[in-house]
Amino acid sequence: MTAPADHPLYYLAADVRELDRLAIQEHGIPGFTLMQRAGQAVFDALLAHWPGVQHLTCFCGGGNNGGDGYVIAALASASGLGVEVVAVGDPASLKGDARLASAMAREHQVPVLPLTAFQARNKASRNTKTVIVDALLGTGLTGPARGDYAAAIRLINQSGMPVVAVDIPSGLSSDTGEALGETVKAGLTVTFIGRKLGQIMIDGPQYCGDLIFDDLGVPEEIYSRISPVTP
Amino acid sequence: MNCYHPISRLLKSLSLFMALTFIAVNSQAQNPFNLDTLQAGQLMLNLTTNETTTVELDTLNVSMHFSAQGRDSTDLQAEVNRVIREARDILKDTDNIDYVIQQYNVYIIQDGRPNRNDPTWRAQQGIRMSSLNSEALLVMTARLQKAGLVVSNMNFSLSSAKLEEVTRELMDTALRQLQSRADSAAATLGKSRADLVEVTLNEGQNFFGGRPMMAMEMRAMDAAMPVPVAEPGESQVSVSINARALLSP
Repeated sequence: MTAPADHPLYYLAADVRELDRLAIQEHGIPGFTLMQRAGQAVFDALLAHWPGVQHLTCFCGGGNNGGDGYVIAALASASGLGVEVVAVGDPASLKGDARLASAMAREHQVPVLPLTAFQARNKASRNTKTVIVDALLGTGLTGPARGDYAAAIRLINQSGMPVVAVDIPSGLSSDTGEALGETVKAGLTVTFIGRKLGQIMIDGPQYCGDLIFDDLGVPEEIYSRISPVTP
Repeated sequence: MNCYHPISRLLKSLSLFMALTFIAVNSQAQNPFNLDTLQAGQLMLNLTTNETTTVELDTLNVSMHFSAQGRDSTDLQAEVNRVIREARDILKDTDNIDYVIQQYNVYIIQDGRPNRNDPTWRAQQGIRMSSLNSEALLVMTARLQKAGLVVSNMNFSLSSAKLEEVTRELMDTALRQLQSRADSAAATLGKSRADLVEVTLNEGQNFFGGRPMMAMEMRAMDAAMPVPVAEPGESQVSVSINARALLSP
């Protein structure tokens, strides 16, 4: 199902995961290819949104959302931007496509800092042409962010720097739009495959900022298989 | 809210109890659970007890929703979102009411003359709330009614913390009663001691949730009624224990 640009369709997170699955399993698009396309979409969008950007600080979580962040970091490095990854969780425990993405960032000599090291260093330095990439938590969140994730979100929000969220701001419920606890306040959100209902409900607009959609080139046929929440 | 499952706690207590009992008996017999190895004068006694108590349901649960219908589904979505966001903002200021915002739904309704080109839509979203402070939740329910939501369900249930507390008390009583009966049997049979060597907890068929309150629900939906009224009601909690006692001379 397609919709005119002025009447976009919105999906629940589980339905977008199903769209994702259909693209991978029934149309043979490798998950890592989708991850690379997602990273590219965010990178292109942030360059267009903040043309003077010189440096990216990518906050990466331990799941596939974090994987997208590692791809963005690799692309930034390849483009000659200054870049660093702030890893929440142990990068060595990344799995599947996210692991491949972190290897890609390593190949591009992207420095990866643990959150604590970044916290210590962040007090002393601030690049005014930095954009923060929020790749901490994706659409599967059902409760408030805790521990290092909550600390990282606080750090992002207190930084005063522009933020681009990968798929959905960390901490926001992608189904209800409720800020579940500490939630990243983004200036730009680039969302993939399907728009999430939570991006336009309750707190969604306040936390997403400008919203850009990219279908990552998945076959249009899969949209006829899953009904959106909004008609 | 304490999520620690009461049965786990119960089983942990029982395990400790059984381990202690086993240690006590093990000094007397190689295998206290095998009837063939009972020593001269020992007897194995099977016991069963069932303890039940009536407990007042302590958690009020209220589900409310807002729905709107019309020709333009985008307008409906905006209207539902506005009302639910307002309700959430009211709820956010309370610290004794747990709430979950439920999924937004929109669908075509049959209003007599189905028109595929210009259908009538109904959009709906709900909020589920629960609280140990029923009075506060009833006041909140009234506030949300004023904001446009209607009550779709209201019931009392037993919190996991209360269930754990009551179950532990029942188990303590049941174990004391089993030991007392074993002591009594030992005395009658001329034995000097009775040790519980095996204890089995039978999980009861307890049902603690969802006592419906249709009458209260109807009253709560009446806008003229400022604060809905709800009485908690009671439920029974049971614990059944089977045990084997070793009676020794």
